Amino acid sequence: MKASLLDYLLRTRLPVTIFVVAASFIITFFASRAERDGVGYTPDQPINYSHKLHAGEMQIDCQYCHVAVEKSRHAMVPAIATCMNCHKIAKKDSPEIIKLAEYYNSGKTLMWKRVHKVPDYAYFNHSVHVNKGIECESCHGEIKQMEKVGQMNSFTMRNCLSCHRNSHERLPYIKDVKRGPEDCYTCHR
Amino acid sequence: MERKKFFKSIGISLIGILFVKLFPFRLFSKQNVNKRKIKVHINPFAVKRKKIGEKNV
Amino acid sequence: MSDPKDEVQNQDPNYWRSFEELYSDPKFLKEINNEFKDGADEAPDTSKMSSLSRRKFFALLGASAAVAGAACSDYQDRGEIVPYKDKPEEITIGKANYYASTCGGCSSACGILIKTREGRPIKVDGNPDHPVSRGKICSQGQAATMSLYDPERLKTPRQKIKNRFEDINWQQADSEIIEALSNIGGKEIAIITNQIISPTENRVLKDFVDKYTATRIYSFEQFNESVRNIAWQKCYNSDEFPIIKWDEAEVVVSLDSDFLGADYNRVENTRLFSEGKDVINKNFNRLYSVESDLSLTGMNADYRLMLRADAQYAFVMGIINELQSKNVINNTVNASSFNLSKLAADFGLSEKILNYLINDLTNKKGKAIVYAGNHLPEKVHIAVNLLNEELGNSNLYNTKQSRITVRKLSSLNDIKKLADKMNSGNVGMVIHYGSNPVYNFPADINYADAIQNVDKVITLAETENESANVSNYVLPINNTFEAWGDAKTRTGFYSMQQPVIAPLYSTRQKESIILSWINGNSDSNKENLYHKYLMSNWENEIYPTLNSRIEFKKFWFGALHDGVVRSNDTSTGNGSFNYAALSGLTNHQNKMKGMTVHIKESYSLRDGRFANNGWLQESPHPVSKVTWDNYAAISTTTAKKINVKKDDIIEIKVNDRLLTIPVFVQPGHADDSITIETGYGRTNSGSVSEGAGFNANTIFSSSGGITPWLYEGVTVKKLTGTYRLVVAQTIYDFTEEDKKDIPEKRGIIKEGTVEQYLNDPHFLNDKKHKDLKSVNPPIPYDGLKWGMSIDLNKCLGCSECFVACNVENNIPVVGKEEVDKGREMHWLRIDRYYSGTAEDPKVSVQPMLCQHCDQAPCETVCPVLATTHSADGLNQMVYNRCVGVRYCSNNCPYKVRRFNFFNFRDSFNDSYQESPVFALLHNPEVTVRSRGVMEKCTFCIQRIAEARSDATRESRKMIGEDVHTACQDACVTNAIHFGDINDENGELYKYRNHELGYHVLEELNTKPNVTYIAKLRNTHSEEA
Repeated sequence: MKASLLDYLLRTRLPVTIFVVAASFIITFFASRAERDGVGYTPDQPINYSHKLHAGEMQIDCQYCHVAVEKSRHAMVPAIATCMNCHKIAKKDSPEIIKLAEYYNSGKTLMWKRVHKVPDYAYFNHSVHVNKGIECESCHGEIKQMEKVGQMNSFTMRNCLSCHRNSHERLPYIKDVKRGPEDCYTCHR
Repeated sequence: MERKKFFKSIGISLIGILFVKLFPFRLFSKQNVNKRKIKVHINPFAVKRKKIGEKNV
Repeated sequence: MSDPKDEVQNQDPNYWRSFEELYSDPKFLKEINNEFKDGADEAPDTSKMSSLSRRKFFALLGASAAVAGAACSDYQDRGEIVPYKDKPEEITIGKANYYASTCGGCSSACGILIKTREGRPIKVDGNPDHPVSRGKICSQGQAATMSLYDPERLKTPRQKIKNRFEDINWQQADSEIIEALSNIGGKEIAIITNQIISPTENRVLKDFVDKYTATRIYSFEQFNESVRNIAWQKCYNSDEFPIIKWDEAEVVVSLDSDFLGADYNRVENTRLFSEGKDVINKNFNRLYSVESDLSLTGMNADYRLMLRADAQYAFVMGIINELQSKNVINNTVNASSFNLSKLAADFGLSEKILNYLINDLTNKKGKAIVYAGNHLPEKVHIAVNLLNEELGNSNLYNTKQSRITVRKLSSLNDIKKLADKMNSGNVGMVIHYGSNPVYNFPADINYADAIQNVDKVITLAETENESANVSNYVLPINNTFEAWGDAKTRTGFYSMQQPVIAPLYSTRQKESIILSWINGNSDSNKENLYHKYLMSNWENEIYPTLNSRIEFKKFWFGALHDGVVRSNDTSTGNGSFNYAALSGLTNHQNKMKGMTVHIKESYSLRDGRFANNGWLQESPHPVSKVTWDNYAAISTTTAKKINVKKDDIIEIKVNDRLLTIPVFVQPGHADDSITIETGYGRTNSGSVSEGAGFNANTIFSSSGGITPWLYEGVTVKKLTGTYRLVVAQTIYDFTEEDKKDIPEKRGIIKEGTVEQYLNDPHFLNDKKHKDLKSVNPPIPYDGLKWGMSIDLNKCLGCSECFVACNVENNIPVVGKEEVDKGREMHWLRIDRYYSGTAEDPKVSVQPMLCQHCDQAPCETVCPVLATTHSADGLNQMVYNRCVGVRYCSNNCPYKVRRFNFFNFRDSFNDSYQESPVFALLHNPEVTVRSRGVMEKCTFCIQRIAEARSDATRESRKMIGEDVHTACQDACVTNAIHFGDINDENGELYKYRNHELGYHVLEELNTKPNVTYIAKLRNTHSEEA
């Protein structure tokens, strides 16, 4: 019996092709997921500020520093003057504080590495979420235990929408929580 | 001979990938334009509105 | 057997492809038997090919792509985030602050509220507490932020050394000027200003005159009300023409007066006048407009007559004659040679309309007003004052509040004397104090030549201009947003001005510059020099007169907070009419000679000071819709007479002066009349103004005309060549039968008359369509659903809303060539339709914006679903998803979608809009769109989102009234209403369900959410 070309194609070529395509897609998808979502990104900061110490052990409220989070769209990284409120005196001789004081006194710009960023075409509004009772940890992870801040949740649109759609499950600590809006313009103006 | 060529090319590509990953290309990047020639300051004597007044419309 | 080839060759006709074939070349005959040419079937020569095989090439391609991908290891880097060092207390990042101040655009000094974000002013709106502006501001005020962030603003002082300008520092400039001032000897120091409206600034100038006694101050405004005021002085012995109570007028007769448009006090006039166009309270006034050009006021007139401006005297005397002969008014003046019927015949005026006019003036005595334009001669104003007095219309003069002039304008005689003194070398120094005399002064004064004889010429200006170009020193001054000040224009209150941003460059406030020259010491200029002076002037001079019960510091704080300070001075009222003034009225009708030329202020650029403002240059003329240029407007008949059409260039000869300018044929313009707007043809004034229009000031003279703005005996010559005038809307065609009156036939414009409406409020219903069926099931909107209504009775077509939308939504300026291709990016446009004949048209205006249709044709055709519908009724546009297919714009029947064919910020004027300082202008809540995306009106989604966020913060539900769109806020007449269509108690509900409400192109079943209230013209029933 002559082995036909079609037979060869169907028995060998086709499964091998499917396997190669599927394998490369799956490997790339999962291997790059962290990169795509940005989860796990924990950059080094110019000053080793520890949230674990300030927000965790000392229990300073998030909104003491991140002042605008309840009023406006942006959460706002605190001004250096806010740090100097305490650190004019507290731990003046620690090397990190000396660095901080140098920034404050010389007027040099303190360029923190940005950890959480929603793309420019999406307009995220912090105050709406905070005023509905959503806790900071729901999106930013267990900040109170982070020496260095890293991104813990993916900020893809899929993730935002999944919370908007399943708000009941994702936010059990809010009574009578309603579904978040799903209209495009909520974020994309 | 083919096998030699094959392993030679794999070897070179691995070295190339390692090089690209480890070399700090960042050194050649453009620094952030820190020269902000225009400074936006608020005049400290200006008084901002607490209420916007009766509606415009 | 013959060769078939031979047979073919012998047949008729004989076709041949080359000479070889024709002459049967033997080589050709041999070759023709071969199918392929020599060498065609040889194997390829591999030695001549590239050594890189296809396989290798693809391998390299793949490898380099893989390497590039692997090299992007810093994919996750998200840049930096930078905090404040010391956060200013006032700022909450992401929230706007509002500051009350005063607009510096013209001498009306309207109170404004400036919205700032992170210390940058981004939007200007009126101050609701200001008695004149009442929360509204004109388009120049709206666009003023662009002037603040103009990249071409002067940044440092400059000195002209050997015909080139060099940058110098303030100390050097000040010390040299102070030295020159002290050594001026017997020569005069002339300071040329615009209208001074600030009492404190006036005091600074007085102090300067005290210190340098050779100083004389000249105040000049190219367009002013001096003729009107002189006539008033003669009639009532009072300096100021009164404020008119337009809202109480049932009949308004406008004689060539554009009181709703380019003439003075536009914001208040429009607001008061529109109270008489009220379909809710059924309050309707009637406007007669007798004018030479089709102005904004004339567009909205119920009855309109076209009359050349030099015949206005005969007209008003004809009315006086008619009313006197009918014993409606007393016989006070001899007007017997003015027969109204003969005038009607001579000038082609409709006798019917004249009869209505006379009847209305008769029946509405005391409730009507006759108002003449600023450019008409004194005798017309005297006659109009007489007419109003005799008819008892002086009722409509506001006696509780009158105008105040802080410093009188200089007369043209004074200006001429200044030029004479200059020419005879008696002027040692000229200071252009924020003014631009080289451009604005009458041309016959030859100021540019006179100034050559002055030793030191100093110009204080924000940007380069014609006067700066001929100066020795050019000193940059603060923009109005960077400046302190006060203003007094009326009795009863003061207006405060405070800076909302520290000077961006090394500029100084112009009052401070003068103060440091008075102090004789450049170092005395600290940053708050004028602030201190202002405060001390208030504390010592003004505050004591106010009888305030709080101490000064608190009072000052409150004054700056409110922007308005009430004062105790009241109007002195008007005297009684002085009949001796009537001696100026001759009983003699002049013959009309030649043509007339009327020089008018531009609607968008005013007297030219806004020429470098791209938004205003691109703002279409309210009537002709021409952008970026001025033109000579003439009627269709006159155009035929001199054999010109649009874009032809003509030369206008006024006395001995010539002006070359293109023609625009304006329907509804009076015959033998030409109207030209100034403010164009600027030179050395910035790259945006370069090449825009023609300098009409070459025919602006102090003598030789009826008034400086009106000339007769003008001749016109057609020149060769054309100049393309770019119109943002197509030229209307009156001639083709199937194109005429399309807006009425298609139901785009629905109109009626007041009488029709009062007889049958539902008269519009028979024009409405029955319920149309749709393929899609209807979507129920039970909650909040946004809708808008535009009242076409109140809409005058003035374009305030248009400029406000541009400012709010970061609309780019695209430039003349692109507007010509229809690529202007305005989300809201004002469509202007004519009906009737080209000689005597009726005009309808309609603001057109995205209708946010329930069944939007654009949503169904987007292949990537970049435009969808929200749960509260808005048509959403998602810029990041749009790929630029443009099917949505194709499908939109209203053509309100604009496509970014280029990154206009990059392509217009060499990336002018991408200068670093220009970026400060943008509204941070609105995306700045780049090339390739579609954009359109979003119903100010950024304002809706902000209102929703505020409502959430205050734990309440958002209602329709929480949101004002930018256009709604800006519309002076409140024609636009926005809100929740499902809220029965809301503002919008009664407009949306009004019997006069209709939708545009309803029959297409797009279910738009913008309701237009049909315009009612207050004409008599035979006219309907």
